[in-house]
Amino acid sequence: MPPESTSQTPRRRQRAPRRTGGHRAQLTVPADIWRQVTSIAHAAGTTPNDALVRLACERLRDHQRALLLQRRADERWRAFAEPDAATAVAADHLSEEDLLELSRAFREDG
Amino acid sequence: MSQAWDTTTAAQLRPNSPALAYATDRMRVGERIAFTASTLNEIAYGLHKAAAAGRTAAGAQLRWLRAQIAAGLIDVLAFDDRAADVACSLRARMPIPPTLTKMARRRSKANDRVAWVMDLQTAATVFVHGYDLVTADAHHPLIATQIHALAPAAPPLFIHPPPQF
Repeated sequence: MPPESTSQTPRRRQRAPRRTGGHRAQLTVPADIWRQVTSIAHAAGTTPNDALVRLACERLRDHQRALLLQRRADERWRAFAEPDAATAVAADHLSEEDLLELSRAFREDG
Repeated sequence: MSQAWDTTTAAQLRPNSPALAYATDRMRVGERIAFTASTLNEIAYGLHKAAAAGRTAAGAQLRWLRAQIAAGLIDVLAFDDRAADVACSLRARMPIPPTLTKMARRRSKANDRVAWVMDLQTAATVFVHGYDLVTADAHHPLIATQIHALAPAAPPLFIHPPPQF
């Protein structure tokens, strides 16, 4: 109970939104993470459990996005690079002079 | 899909702008906007040049932009080994910028060539990082077509017009 001087009405316990169809879990949250989650929950007007689920949702969304991007990036790279590797034929190496000259082309062409 | 802005769109991002509101909304739904390092290079050059000439507002904009990047509003896509490889493959096939009809010449031929190299770097970077490109530059659809010719099996590089802020 809060002291009378701070509140005339009893504080109602903050309730999280009711989630159905999920997996009920009991877990141990490291103390420093719980402190941060509690602080976030307080600022957002919800419970620490709800804040924890929301943070997990956001992190999962970022993770999924990163996976999709990486998959597409790798598909693009393979489609670009693999035909080169597949058609490669044995050849002599370039001479040092040739290599230097070809490297200068970037600045000199155009 | 995730979008990278080229300079034509990215240069509209400033404090209290519709572009900032748009970027912030995208971040809230987990779809941060991105610039390529080449795009940032172009924007930063103009700002540094103006700041060096004494325009304090340019320095302020540069600091603001750095803060947005640090805060995670904007992803900056690196011009990495893959991007360098693709960009040079493009340039070897298209050494000079195609002439676009109805385009008034605003730059010297030499500056056109520099801009062309930056366009190729931007497109290659966006491609290898798995993004789509948002641009009003008429060269980019042509570059995307060339990328498709180089890697026909790849998920294509889509070009989107800039959003209406």
